[in-house]
Amino acid sequence: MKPVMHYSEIEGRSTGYYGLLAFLGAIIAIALAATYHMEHSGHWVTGMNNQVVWGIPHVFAVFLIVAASGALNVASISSVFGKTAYKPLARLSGLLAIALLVGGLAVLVLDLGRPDRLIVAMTYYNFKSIFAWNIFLYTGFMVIVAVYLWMMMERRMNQYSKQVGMVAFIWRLALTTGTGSIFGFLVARQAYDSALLAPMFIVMSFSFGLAIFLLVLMASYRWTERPLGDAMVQRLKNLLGVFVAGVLYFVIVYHLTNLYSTRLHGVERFFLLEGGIYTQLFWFGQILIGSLVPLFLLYHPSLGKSRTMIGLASVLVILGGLVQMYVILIGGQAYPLVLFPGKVPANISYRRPVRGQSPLLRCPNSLAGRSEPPPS
Amino acid sequence: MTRLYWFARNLPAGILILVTLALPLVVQGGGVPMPEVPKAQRHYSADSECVAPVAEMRKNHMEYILHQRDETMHRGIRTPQFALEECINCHVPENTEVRNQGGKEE
Amino acid sequence: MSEKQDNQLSRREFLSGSTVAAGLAVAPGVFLTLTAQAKPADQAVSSDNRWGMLIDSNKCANGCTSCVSACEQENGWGSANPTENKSSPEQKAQWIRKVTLRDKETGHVQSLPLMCQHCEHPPCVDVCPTGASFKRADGIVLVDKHICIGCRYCMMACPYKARSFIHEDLQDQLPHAPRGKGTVESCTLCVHRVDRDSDKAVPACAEACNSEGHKAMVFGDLKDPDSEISRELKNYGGEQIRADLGLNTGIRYRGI
Repeated sequence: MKPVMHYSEIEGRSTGYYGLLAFLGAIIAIALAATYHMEHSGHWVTGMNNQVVWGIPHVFAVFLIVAASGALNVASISSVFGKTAYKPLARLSGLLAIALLVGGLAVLVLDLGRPDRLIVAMTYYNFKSIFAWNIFLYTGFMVIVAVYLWMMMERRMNQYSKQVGMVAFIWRLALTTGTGSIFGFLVARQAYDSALLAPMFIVMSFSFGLAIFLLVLMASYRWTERPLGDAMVQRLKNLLGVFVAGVLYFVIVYHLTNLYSTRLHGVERFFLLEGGIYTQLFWFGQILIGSLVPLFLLYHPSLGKSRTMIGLASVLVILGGLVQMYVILIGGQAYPLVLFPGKVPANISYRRPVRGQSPLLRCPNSLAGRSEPPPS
Repeated sequence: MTRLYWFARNLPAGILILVTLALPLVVQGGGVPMPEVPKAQRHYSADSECVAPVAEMRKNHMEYILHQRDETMHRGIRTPQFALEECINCHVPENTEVRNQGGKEE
Repeated sequence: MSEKQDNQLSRREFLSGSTVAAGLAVAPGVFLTLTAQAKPADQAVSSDNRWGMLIDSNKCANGCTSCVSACEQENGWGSANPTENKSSPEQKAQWIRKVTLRDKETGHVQSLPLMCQHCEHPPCVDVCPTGASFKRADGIVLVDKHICIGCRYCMMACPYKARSFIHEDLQDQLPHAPRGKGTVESCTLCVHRVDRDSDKAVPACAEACNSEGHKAMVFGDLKDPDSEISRELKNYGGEQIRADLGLNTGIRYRGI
């Protein structure tokens, strides 16, 4: 017998629904105001400078883009790997993926020096640039997932959903590889020049995207008073645990390979020991709060059964993910370029010590402006 | 779903109302004053106001602004006639009150 | 039309002539040795030339910043453009900077100017999504500010931190060095001088260094075997900063 699935829309007339809408709308309004202020005055108001050229906006943007690919996990599991149990959640998964990607791209575009020239970015291409590839990877992802959603939602098209799901699955892997390569191909920067960043970003996407999906899933089922089976939550949280451990594994391998080569001892010393805020964020934010505590919560025999704890673990994974992005992006730029090995700058003009100088603390403006959630 | 139908049914009416509201703006030019372009103070040469005859400039201005620009920028072709200095000499004369045409604030 | 042409020619000759006169007066001998083929102004640059510079750190005087000031004046940034007043020192434009180095082992202190190295394989050009960051046929690396979208990826990619992002509205820019908020800029090797008179042109920094009497910067055509820079490099050698990256920089150093 063929199982019959019945989808029903959220009514969308409750006070809570309008409240949520107003709350998200207010955040977007603040973000737009901040954007206007920044583009009108110039980027000097953000606290960025010629050494740290990508700041908080890029932390959020890259996080959201990476998470977007990961939010598609559940749909991929259901279509590509044929686990029918996940099928009811596949649509939410696809929708969330598009929303997160749009949110991330909006941040990225609004932080350009000349966002008014977006049309230039679409008409002039340098195909050697990973950025240019990513423009296609991102827009392509949106189109493919939109088609995928159509295949899933239109009954006559259901038969093709597996094939389109396969394309979407391959595309998302390419997308995250491309995003990781933005940094991985920067040969000049000691902190970035590593091919490991591409697979690391893929596992990061699995982890962050699933954490966001879990939260949205539990919240929406609760607010609409629909039953959500424990078996499903348990499966997803076990999966999240595997992904968090996977990210931790890649982080360890990344630092071990760097520690092996003497050339990179300086940058490792910076991240692991003497980098001030970056070191603290790495150990406490990324490793402790973002990895070890969630792993403990997720795999604890009794805590791991509590939905509150699973929700908390997801929140911590997201926070840890943002911290990890901060450490990779901003820490990587704050570490000075090594131009003259064996020599130190004798004057401090222009090349100031970066330790303790946190762009985070100096740009409340961009922080307020760029932490917008995706317009979902 | 019903709300979607409501929206679709009322869409033409909505557009009509918007257009009607916007009509005065179109007729009055939206109340935006014409830009005050300062008069050129120094002409290109005694017999010509601009780097080329006015008719040619009116016809080919975009050509010069875009293609000549790219020729200069990327291929290093710099003729004194179509140099940016000549555009500036004429369009942004010295000793004018308005210094920045684009960034004039209300 | 022909009368106008004559008019322009005389104006151009006047301009280039005055440059040469000034150059000869301050630095006799330097320009005379440059024998690159002159390029008519209305012809495209070609890969027959490759412009470069040889900087001798041993001749570069500690504490002297003439090259930086000259570049500011020539291109209208830093102290030469007071409208850039909201940006912090780390945000302000820095086309060329003086770096003073101390050897960790020997304590030897030296200084040198650092700017865009005009690489043969520039990472900034590779990463630019729109092609705004580009290399001319004659090896000069530039930013086309008309199509720069201000993404700053080139600044991430540059090994020399040679580029600046314009953080605020500017006014009173110079006609030969257009600059605008939200785009990226860097040393142009005084491309406007090179194009005006490739035979005898010399960038403002090198000109200033010569007039100070240090003569630490030699500009010229790396593809012309008879140019001073080529002969110097052939006979006595020169080094690249971060030669390990294999970028084949157009700016070479001695004594680093």
